[in-house]
Amino acid sequence: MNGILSKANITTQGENRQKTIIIKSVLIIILLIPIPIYFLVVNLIYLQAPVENQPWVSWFDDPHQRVYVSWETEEDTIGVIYYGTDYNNLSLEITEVSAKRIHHVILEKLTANTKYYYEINIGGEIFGEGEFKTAPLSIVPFKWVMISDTQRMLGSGHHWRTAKALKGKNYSFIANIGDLVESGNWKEEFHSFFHIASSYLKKIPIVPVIGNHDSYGTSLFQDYFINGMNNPHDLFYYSFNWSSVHFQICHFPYGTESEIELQVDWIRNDLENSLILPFRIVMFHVPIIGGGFYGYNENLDTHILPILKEYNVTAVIHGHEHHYERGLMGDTMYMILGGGGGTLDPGLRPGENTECFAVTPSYTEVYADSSTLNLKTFTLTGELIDDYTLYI
Amino acid sequence: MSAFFFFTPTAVVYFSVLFQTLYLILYTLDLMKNRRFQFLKWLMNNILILSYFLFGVLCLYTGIIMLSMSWSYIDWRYQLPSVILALITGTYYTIAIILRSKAFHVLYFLPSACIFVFLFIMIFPGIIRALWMGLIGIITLLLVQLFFLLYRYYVQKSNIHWLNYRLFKKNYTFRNKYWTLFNWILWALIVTESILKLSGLSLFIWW
Repeated sequence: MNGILSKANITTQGENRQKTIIIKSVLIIILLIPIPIYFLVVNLIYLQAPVENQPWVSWFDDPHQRVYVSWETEEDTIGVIYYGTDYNNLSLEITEVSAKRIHHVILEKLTANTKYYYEINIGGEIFGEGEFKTAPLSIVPFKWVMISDTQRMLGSGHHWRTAKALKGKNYSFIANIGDLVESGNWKEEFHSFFHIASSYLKKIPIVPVIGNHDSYGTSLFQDYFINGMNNPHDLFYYSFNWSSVHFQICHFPYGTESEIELQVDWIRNDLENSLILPFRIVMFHVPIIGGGFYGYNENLDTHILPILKEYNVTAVIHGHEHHYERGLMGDTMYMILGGGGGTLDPGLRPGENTECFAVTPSYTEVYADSSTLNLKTFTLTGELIDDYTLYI
Repeated sequence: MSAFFFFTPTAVVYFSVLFQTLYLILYTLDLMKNRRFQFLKWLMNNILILSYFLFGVLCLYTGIIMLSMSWSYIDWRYQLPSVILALITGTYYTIAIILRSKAFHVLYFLPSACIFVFLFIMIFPGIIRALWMGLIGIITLLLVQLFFLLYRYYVQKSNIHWLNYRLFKKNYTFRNKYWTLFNWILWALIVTESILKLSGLSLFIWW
């Protein structure tokens, strides 16, 4: 009898043990599964962004009379672009010469300070449409917006929220200070970037700056943006004037000595030629100083900052570090605008030069007239983070 | 602005996911009941206790820094959930350990915390940069751990009965069921906040 009971006990114990193992296994699976599932789902969704990208507009060195309109198609196609100043009568037309997937059509002899509308036709069907305004030849007040580091990194990032915040707003252009995508040699990243950005690029031309992630491997960045197509050494630099401001965009994804060596003469000459304008804004990806992960770049500090000071540059705009920061390098103001989309910085060390910083998704709006430059930084829900005005 | 280093609450929440998940895995597996691997058990228990304690200090430091700065309120719907979770986790991993232990614990927990905070803020203000450049930070942390273990070994040898709290001890009392529930809720909140943060949202911003 005792033997039977013992046997029964052993069986019950065995069953309990089995039950415990099952419960524990289920609990461990519950604990381990959410994050990998999230990454898997996000990546799957991210890679599903359509190949066909709606048009975007950018320019080379004279946006008052020449811009380029670009778009991407799944197959090699020939597009026709109709454009004009009257939305209901797009009287001008350019047909592409050869079939391609990434299309760039240069619109020339435009009238300064004029709004243009355009429509792209492929095979008789409307592919996309948009609008842009050319730069004025005289000094008139204008507004532009700046974001940076729209790459997604871990997870989906918040570029989609930035896009939502900018949608429908009226700016002369949007400057993206680099790292538009996480990996510049991965086409899907660009597809996703344009898919998200199309909501604002339809009405706002883009002023791209190359970042370190954009230039990874066999970078596709310069296939999508041709602003620097005539430059030697495959470098992505250019400059242009818009009203009271001269904009200089440099190729400093890393800020190495070789990058500096190849551009230093151009930087100097370009700034020399811009002295007639009240403001000079220089944009490049890597900060000279910053309170984030990368901190200080000795090469840029030694070789570039003295030039910027010599030519009285109003502000230097950077990305790279994933937070918002404004500060002073002597008399030269710098900004880091890394809150455009990627995972924010894990740690910060604001320096003695730092005047304002925030670790939050953000974008910066700038108003310029003949004597003032007002920079306002907002959260994606519209709260004001920073408000700073520069005077001549 | 004076130069000091701090972790952002978002990062702290990401790290918390690792800590809390590991905690619950160990708790669920009930490794401490296993009579084998005594030395490994002892070693792991001690390393984990100190790691959790120091991480707790870091969480509290981050939460307090964020709350004490006016800019942390700018985007409160984005930041506040992470700050609150950092403070809860920090309190849980630090104060709870001290309070649940005998008073003698304070004698070694507080000095380790002070050393850690001192190293962290004063000597390695750019700790991430230090980790990046030469793994100096990791070596420092390992040294702190080593000193801690040596100290505990010495105290144990001297038969002082202070080791009556085990971080991973499983006890099926009514009170501990709530404690388990609290741990699971905390884990769920931390994981949710992390996933939302990775998507540009937070527990207070759903869309």
